Amino acid sequence: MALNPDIEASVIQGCTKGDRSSQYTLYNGYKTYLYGICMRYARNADEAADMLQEGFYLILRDIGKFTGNSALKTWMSRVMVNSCLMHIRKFRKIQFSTLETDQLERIDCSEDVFSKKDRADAIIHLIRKLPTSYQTVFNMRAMEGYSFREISEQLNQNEATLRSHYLRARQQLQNFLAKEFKGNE
Amino acid sequence: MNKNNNIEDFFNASMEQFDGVPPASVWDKVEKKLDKKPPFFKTPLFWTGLILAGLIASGIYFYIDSSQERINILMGENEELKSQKGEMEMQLTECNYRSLEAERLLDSYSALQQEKEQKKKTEKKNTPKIKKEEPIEKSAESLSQEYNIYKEIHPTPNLQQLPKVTPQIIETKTDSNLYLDEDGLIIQEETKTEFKVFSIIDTTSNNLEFEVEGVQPDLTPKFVPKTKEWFQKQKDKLKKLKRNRNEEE
Repeated sequence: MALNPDIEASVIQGCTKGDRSSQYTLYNGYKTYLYGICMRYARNADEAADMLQEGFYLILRDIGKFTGNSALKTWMSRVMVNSCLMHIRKFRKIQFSTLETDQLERIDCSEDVFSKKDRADAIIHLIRKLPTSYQTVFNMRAMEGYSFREISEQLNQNEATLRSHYLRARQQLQNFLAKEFKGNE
Repeated sequence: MNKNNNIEDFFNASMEQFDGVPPASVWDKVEKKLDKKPPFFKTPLFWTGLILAGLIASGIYFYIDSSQERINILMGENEELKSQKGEMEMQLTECNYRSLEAERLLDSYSALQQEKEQKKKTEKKNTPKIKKEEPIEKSAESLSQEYNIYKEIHPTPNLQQLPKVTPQIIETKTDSNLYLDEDGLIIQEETKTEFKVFSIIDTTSNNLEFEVEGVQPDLTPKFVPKTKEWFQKQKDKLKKLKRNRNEEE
């Protein structure tokens, strides 16, 4: 659920002035979308709730800095991802072990693996199974669409390591999917 | 079953269907955080106050520092003035001492003067008055007598008694001839003669009343009586002799 563009402008204006109803409208409009992001980066629902709370506070605090060059949703997702990364750095340790870059081929996967109702939860469940470093890199690259250079700047790691982590994560997810698929069969 | 979709697209498509709702406590916490006043040290008032306090403190510090410096300068000046005062006091005492000494000397001088004056007065009283001698007019006879006496005392010198002048040949010149004229000047001639130079030995002895004026053509010294002053002295001597004779008579 996204806000109507006309309403969005007035809501941004209200949030800039600190109007509580506008702030709540904004929260209500994007809480599911932002919560989804947090769910992917978090280890459980409680951590996701904490991440959402911290991230949304930052959104409301810095909404005056939103210039309108990008869509509000994109800007908010960036802030939320940054907040999630801050949270992970604060409460978890991201370990990047040196791995050899595996030249894995892209593997197709079937949409019929899960029922439509449970698919998102199943995806989140699979992602959470990955180690923190894999989870973070996969989320940033595959879900948010960050380039490896951007991820490298954010996580302060060289691109080769990140690439290898991404491929490993991808391979592991593939394995998970295969297991789940077999289980469902 | 669409086998062309890759894993990234599959995951993204799956996440679009996410409809999870965050717990209500999230908004409550956000609201609480929004209502929470920022800590005092994060407010602009705090920073403004801090800057002002810093400025005031630095101002006070510099004021104290400058005043301390001023005090130090004044203290230094005071010390210098004290030393100058001490020097001036020393000079003053020296001046006072000198003035006292001068007064003492002046007193003693005036006392001496008074003593001298008194002595003079007493001497004047004691000594009889003497008449001044009147100048004696000399006659022609007396003068001739004086001259005779003078002659007796100072006979005309004999030339043979006078020291000899020995010509000495110093150099012989073949191309020119030099000789002395009557006035004793050296004259150069073209003839080839010997050049003679002479010296006079001890011609101005004190026991002689003549002095060498020049050289005669025969290369002997030319004697002249001594100066008028000398004669005046002799006259005075004669006068004295005469007076003594008169007194003896």
